[in-house]
Amino acid sequence: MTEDKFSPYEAMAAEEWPSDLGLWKNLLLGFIANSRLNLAAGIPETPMGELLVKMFARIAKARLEGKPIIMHPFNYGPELFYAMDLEPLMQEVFSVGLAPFHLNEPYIDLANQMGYGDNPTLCNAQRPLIATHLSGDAPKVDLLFYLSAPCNSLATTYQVYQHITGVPTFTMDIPYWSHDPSSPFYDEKTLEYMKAQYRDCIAWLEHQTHRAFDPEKFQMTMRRVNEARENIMEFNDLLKTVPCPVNSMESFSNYLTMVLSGGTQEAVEVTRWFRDYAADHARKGIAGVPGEKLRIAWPYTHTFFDRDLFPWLEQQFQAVVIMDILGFYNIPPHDVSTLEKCFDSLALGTLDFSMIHTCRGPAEFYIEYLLRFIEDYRIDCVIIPMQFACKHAYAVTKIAAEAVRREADIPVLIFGCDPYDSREVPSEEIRGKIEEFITEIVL
Amino acid sequence: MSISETFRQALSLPNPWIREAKEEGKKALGYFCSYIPEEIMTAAGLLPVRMRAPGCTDTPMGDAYMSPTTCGFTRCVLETASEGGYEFLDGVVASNTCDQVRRLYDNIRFKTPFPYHYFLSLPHTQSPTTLEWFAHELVKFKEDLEEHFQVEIGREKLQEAIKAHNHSRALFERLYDLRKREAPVLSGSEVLRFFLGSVTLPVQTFNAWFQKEIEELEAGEGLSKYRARIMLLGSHLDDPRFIELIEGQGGLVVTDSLCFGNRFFRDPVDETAEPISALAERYLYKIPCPRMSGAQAERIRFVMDQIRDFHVDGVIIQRMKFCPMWWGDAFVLRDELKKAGIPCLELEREYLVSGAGAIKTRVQAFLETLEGR
Amino acid sequence: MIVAGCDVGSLTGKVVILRDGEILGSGIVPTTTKPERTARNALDKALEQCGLALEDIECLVGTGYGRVKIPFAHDNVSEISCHGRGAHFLVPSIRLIIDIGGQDCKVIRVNAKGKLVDFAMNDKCAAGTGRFLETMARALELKLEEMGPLSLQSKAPTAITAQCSVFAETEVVSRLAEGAEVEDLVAGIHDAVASRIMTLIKRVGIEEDITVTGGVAKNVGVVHFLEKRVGLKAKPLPMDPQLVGALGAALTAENLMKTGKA
Repeated sequence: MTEDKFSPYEAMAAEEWPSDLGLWKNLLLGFIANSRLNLAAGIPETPMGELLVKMFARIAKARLEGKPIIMHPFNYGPELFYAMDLEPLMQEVFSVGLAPFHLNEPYIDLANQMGYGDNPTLCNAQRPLIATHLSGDAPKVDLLFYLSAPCNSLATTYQVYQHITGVPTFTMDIPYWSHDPSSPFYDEKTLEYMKAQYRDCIAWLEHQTHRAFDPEKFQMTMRRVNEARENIMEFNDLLKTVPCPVNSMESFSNYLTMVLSGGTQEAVEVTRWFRDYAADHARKGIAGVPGEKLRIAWPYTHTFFDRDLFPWLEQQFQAVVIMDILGFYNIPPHDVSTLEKCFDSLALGTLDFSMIHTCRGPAEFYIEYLLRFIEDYRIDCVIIPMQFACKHAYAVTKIAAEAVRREADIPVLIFGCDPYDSREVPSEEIRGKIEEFITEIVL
Repeated sequence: MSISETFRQALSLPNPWIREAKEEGKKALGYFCSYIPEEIMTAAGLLPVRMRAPGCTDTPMGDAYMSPTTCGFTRCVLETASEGGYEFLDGVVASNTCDQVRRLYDNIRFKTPFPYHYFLSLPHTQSPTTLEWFAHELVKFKEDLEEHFQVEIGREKLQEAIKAHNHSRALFERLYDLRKREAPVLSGSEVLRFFLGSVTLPVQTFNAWFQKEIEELEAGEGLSKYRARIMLLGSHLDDPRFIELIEGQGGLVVTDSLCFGNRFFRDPVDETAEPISALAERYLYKIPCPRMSGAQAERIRFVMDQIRDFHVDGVIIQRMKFCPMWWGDAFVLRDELKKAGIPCLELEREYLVSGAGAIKTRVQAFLETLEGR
Repeated sequence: MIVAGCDVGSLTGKVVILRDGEILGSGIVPTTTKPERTARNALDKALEQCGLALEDIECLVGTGYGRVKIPFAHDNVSEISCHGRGAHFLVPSIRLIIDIGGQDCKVIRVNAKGKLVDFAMNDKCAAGTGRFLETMARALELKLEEMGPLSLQSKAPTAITAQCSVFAETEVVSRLAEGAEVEDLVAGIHDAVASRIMTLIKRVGIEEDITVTGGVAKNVGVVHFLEKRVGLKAKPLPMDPQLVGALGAALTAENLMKTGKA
């Protein structure tokens, strides 16, 4: 057995775990193996490998020791849960986490067999949740928290999960309006509404966990979130450099860090590492993608099942994907000097989280965001993979593409696919479309 | 012309009464969801018209802008809008009923704008906090209507409107009681026509006719020739021909959980309380549709109560193709019904009736299973 | 009492004539453009076989696609019920009938009396129907009849993972190009059909005994892979499966006479 930083986690996995952690254990070991493989292949190491492994281990530990686990969706930061000493579990591990290894596909098939939706009615980001739970492969959770945004598919599947498990649940209603006074969609009560719901949520958490909310711990947590956000904003600013100092996968890291560890010291350190890394490259004029020729905006999710797609883009066309809708975490630091301001930050962070920010309201939120990004980050072209089951996104892409062509005058490619299922539209077909687009239209 | 024939006329958009109202200088406002209070629009002196797209057969624009995997209702509405089919409307009001309506509203604003648009951000959960927000949204809506249409919507006007719409609700309740009989007075497809009339005609006109119609029905013999009593539930359904397919096989629809049905009229608005609060309370807490999170148990309880009260033999769940929320609900409901020993049939359908043969076969086979018991 | 059942399908019209539970005659004809004519042709053929005339038939029940257009039928019943009833009559231990047609697929569950209890059907998608096999046979340049026996020769079926038959075709062709053995691919294809049908079966529940009917029932490969998945052996029916629907309709007619509902 290899002796390295992953060994303690490996040792943990050698023990006997309850049956609902069967898949979880395989994932932990799989991610360890993956990190080791990358190291052996000489791929430069980032803190992400360890962060992911630690996440699996922490949740297993919580399950084994009886620490309450609270499940939440992939567009929500877990800071409040850390502040209340709970263990957060981001549900989309079962889809986003498994898709690069195609391990989610049997669960998609199982969901089909069970009669839970089909693609394209319900999104495969959440369907495996039902399948893994009903087949005993998902860890038992103690609490469930979800949002009404960005979409019905998410809310529907979590609601079904809530019903079949009976797990105590809190749903936060995300309003349509903006909290920004300069926006034509501004509603001055938006922030208050969110804070009022957070008061209800905290009361619910206290009741469920028999623990009191600790204002000191909360403020400390929010200050750490803020510090991480400062690091990320500097990082995001550095992305504007031509050439971009990081590559496509590296620009996804901050989102992952914040959705899994936001509020912890770990998140502060990892975001700092990426900030320093980007700054170092920018200072030295090192490009994330050597010979950078194309800067791409990808305003939807990665095609998760094809983990080599972005490296391929980089090698074939010297193209860097600077932003995707989930990966581009762009919440600015807030004033967190008082307890009240920390609550403001919590509410604002929820509304501005990846995908929530762009997808919860009118089309303008999505379109303006994209246009601003194109301008600030000197984007050459836009590629939008269109998830067949994604109602809110699919129905806004055409008007968005029209706006991009009209205002930014750069080419847009839209292609249909299922980002979670390699069998719907296979990699070869996707790469074919992208190749055609880049060679014939862009270059 | 008989009243039934009148209601048939009312189904087209625009119908003679909308035209008449417009000739008198009244303005018509299209709206999308049973969660949007008609009372506010009526109080503003406007004619609320529930959005439908009858006769829409092909959706090239809808497919292009909404996508081919979006529900047929929203695609058909966009198509109709692009063809000028809603020229009689002075505006359109939408809410975050579901993603598809939300994006339909965006596409309408960008591609086929109306003289007036408004959007309501209505809560997906029920609590004192979300109730306050609901009331806030209603006040904003009222103020926006006042500004755009240059009217004043005072307390009195709201209370009048509430009374009028409550009267419709009371009439529907009476009608539904008559469906509990062993020989229900009316078929489900006829009842749907009444609902469509109520969301298309001026409320006072509707009430007057509806009252007379019910009095006649009360005295009548009712329908005794049927094979089974059916409860129908599911997605937005405004096409009576779909229900005719079921009833043509002998499955008489006696009750439902439909937004043109029970979920539209049950639970009156409190006439004694402050109008906006009363409206918010009634609309937030009415029988929930699957868009309301955490209300699953209540939806199931409602179905079970209806089965008991209306002596239902079997349940039919119809799902519009590509509707995520009803698929989730059906998944849970089919299990609960199975546990309770209640036969259930699931049908997937398009917005407007198609594939009639396949539907008839399934319904016929389902009714045959009911008879085997 | 002499009764008859008439099944007007999309490809063939069938009639079975019954007297006191005994089959007197039957007829199968190709479908014409008019269901009435198809029904008449099939009936004439059956009558000729047992030397009877239309007047001898006391009650006739129609079923199938064209069931409402049969002018001399006293009533019509879904082909789902008829299929179930007919199969149960032939083998009374049968509780689950899996009918795999050229265009659609049905799973039918009956009770001890042969009455329909539950059903599930797929008539929208090619997967799990004969059409899927036809498409694959073409893609592999094989004759449809060769497919079944070939699939049984495989020791290691290639898993076909594509959900949709359109993508499955692409998948199969690429696997072939990669050097996969034809029998392994064909076995995988048959297992994919079985897998799709299992989804329907699960909705209705497994209860023995089971039987497989429909045009695809003659494909030994599909039956083999289906039996493997269900965990039960399919009982064969001692009659041309094509006539089962018409038999069930005739039995329904008999029942109507007995209960005085005709």
